[in-house]
Amino acid sequence: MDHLLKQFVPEARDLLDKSSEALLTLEKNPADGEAINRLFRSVHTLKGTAGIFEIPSFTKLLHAAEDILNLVREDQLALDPELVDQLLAGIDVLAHWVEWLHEKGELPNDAASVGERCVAVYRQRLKASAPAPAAAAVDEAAETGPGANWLATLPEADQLAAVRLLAELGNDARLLAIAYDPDPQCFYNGEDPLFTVKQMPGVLSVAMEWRQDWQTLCEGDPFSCRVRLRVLADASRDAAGELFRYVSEQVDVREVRLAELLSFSVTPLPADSEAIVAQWREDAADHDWMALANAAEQASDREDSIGSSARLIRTLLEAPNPPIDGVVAIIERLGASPEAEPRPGDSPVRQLSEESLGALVLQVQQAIIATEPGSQEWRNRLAAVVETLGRVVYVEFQRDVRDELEQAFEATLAANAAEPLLTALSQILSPAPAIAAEASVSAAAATVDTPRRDGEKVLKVEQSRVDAIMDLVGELVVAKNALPYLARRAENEFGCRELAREIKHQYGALDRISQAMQGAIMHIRMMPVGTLFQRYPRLVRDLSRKLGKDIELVIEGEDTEADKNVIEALSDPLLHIMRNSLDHGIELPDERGAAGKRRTAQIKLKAFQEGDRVCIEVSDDGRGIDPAHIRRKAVEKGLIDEARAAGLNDRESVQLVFMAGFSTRDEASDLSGRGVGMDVVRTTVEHMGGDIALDSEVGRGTRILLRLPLSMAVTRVMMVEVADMLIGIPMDTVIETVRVPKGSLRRFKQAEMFTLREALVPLVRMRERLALPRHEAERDSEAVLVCRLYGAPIGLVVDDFNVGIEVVLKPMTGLLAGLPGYAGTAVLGNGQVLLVLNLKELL
Amino acid sequence: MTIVYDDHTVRCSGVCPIEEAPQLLEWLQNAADPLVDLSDCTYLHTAIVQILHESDARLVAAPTDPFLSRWIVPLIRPANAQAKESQR
Repeated sequence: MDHLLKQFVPEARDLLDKSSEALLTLEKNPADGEAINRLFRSVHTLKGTAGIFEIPSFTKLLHAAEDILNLVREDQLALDPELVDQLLAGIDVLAHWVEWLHEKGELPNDAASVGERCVAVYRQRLKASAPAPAAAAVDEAAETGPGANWLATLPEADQLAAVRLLAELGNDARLLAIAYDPDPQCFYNGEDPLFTVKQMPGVLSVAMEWRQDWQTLCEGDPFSCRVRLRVLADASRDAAGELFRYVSEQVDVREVRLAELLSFSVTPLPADSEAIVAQWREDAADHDWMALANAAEQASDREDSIGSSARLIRTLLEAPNPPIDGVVAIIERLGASPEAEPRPGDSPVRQLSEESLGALVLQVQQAIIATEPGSQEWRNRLAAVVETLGRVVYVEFQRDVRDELEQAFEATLAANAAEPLLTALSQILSPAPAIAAEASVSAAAATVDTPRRDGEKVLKVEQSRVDAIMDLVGELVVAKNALPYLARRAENEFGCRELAREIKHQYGALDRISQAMQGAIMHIRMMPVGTLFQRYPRLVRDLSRKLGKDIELVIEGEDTEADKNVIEALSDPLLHIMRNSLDHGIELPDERGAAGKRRTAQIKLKAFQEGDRVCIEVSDDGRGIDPAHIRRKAVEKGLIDEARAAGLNDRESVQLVFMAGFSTRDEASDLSGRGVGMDVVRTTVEHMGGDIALDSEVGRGTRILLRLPLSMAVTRVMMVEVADMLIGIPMDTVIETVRVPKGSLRRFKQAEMFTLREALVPLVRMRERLALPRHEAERDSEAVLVCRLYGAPIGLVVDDFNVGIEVVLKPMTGLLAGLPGYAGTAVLGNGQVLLVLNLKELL
Repeated sequence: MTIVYDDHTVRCSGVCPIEEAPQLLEWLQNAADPLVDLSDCTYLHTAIVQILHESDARLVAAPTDPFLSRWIVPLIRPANAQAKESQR
């Protein structure tokens, strides 16, 4: 497979997981802004990455989903369960495709048609949401007012044209104000921001802002995009969305109405304004629009802000149906806030991340200082600039430079030139070269990025590589185990006690290191069970909708860690248990209500560690398992006879569900029926060296507890000798070793047993069970290894006991894989192969 | 070639793609008092506009394309440099 694709697959899986998780969070709490952003980010990142490959259906589907999410993010589309279903369905399709990509390196043949169907569903949604002014109106303020204040910087002629158009179109008319901040690297993606804007219909104004201050040519990189585009257009939101669909996150589209367009144009008023404004106000109060138009006409040639207000008023009054509110608003504002100076650089700052804000404010202030030095306005501005600079420097560098700035300020005023202040500023900034050098915003962004990348030092390593190390450590353990043999030989065969001691000493050191190494690698393989649990919210949600049940899933202890293999092996059994619970355990809401329970059922998924075991508990507060029903079923199916059924107590009866061939389902259900019964669940869990316990109380609920080893990598086994062969028995089943005199053995029909502390323990002769030759001579006593099997003790008669050791257990492979009775093999220190038994299968 | 260079003047014609950007930049850096002729130009890539805007190049012939003449031309220094200063 292509190398890139190889990297893409796990990333895509990851992102899809994150998306569905965020989606579910969002469904629960639609106001969760963090979740929608997370969701949007995941989808967007995935789209970006997928773009590298020739998988158009994949990307198209993501586009469509992204469009929907965009609307959701802007609160124009409510995230109802229907939509969540549709989005989840899309995620499923994508996940399916990712697996295809992983297996075959391409999308399935029906990808195009399947994708089209999904996209069509999304488009339908988009269309349906378009004429939804009610929803949009709710967020009017957030949509328009703030963020669009760059409108004031547009050329006045354009503003007037826009105002005229809106005035003519009437009260509800809106224009689109688009702030497009292309990524500085966008040229590399083949984007041409101007070209995109050029295709925009109904453009009324295009303004460009520059990301950096005017730079000298040599510093300019021809391939970094330094413009920000500000477009005012008479177009629909859909048109803009379509046009900017590839860069939607760089674009801020807002609808502006006349009132908003008029709301910003307040500049310092000239001295003689009061009389004029007073006259206007009088005319407006008298509703004498003709007089007002004439007055405005007279003032409209002026260069100052009165002039521009006059031109605005005149334009408004010229409309066939003059928007009087707008006119009044303008006049009101002229009277209200003469000191409201527009803050320069306000709009570009808004678009930036917080980190580069300080740098940018500094730049803007520098630009202001350098603008028209010597003029009266410049002098007026300076005090505010000095104030701002002092604060920004204080925040950015934690240095108080106000005194220095104050001196420079006075010098600047005295010299009537910008230089003293600029020099002082560069001196202040130079001790912090990293920031001072940040003439460019992109540089600022880069420096800010670096530490963040340092923060998360995570390696993504293929599991096979870790497994390879694990294997090597296993071999190291084996090699290490050869040393005691060597020591013994040195002592016994060669008579060098000194050397033997030396070897044992070295062995001790090696042993310590290899154990530490084993621990470290096992730790790498550990992962939180949360990764397993995260798919269940989705399962519960889907099934509860399907079954019409109201279910709440509670997850606890998702940080509990266990070996990756254990977690992965648990996935199917757990899934089955959950499905059983959802399907059979939980009652319908009405039924619950009738039983006096809460209508919302609860399923609890809980993980915790208990010694060297990880425990996972699934409990529900459903109807529980009826023991009588189970007994009847078991008899019907011929699994047990009536007599035995009668002898079972309730707790024992419930355990019958684990018997092979048992199923209480009266009718087949498409949910839990996947050919997996509880017996398979138990077998799987036991195969991993775990056990399963079930408690149930009728009417109160069921609790299933899975207990599994933390890791399956290293197994402790007890070695025993049987007919000159070494055989391993997993240590966790061994209770004790006893030597039983011949006389204490009892025989009952075919079965042998002995009494151990007043309990009868059945005996199994391993030689017979393993079909090895019998003892020739009678023995005085038997070596009995007492083990626990299904909770009851059982004695294994062996020839002799050996030591307990830790081995790396390799499962049987190839032809031997299907052989029951063996857990696997391990290599001993002397090179001998040890067979390790699986008692549950053997006996 | 959509951009033709001679001693003093750079002539853009048709659609000027981003590929022209590095050469244009280099030329403008070396030319003394460069002039720009856009009369045959129908579209300039954002990168080209950026370079022209940031350079000292002065516009001697305006384009006829409405988009260019309305929104892009004001970004380029006019033939009479003082005119631009007073515009500010």
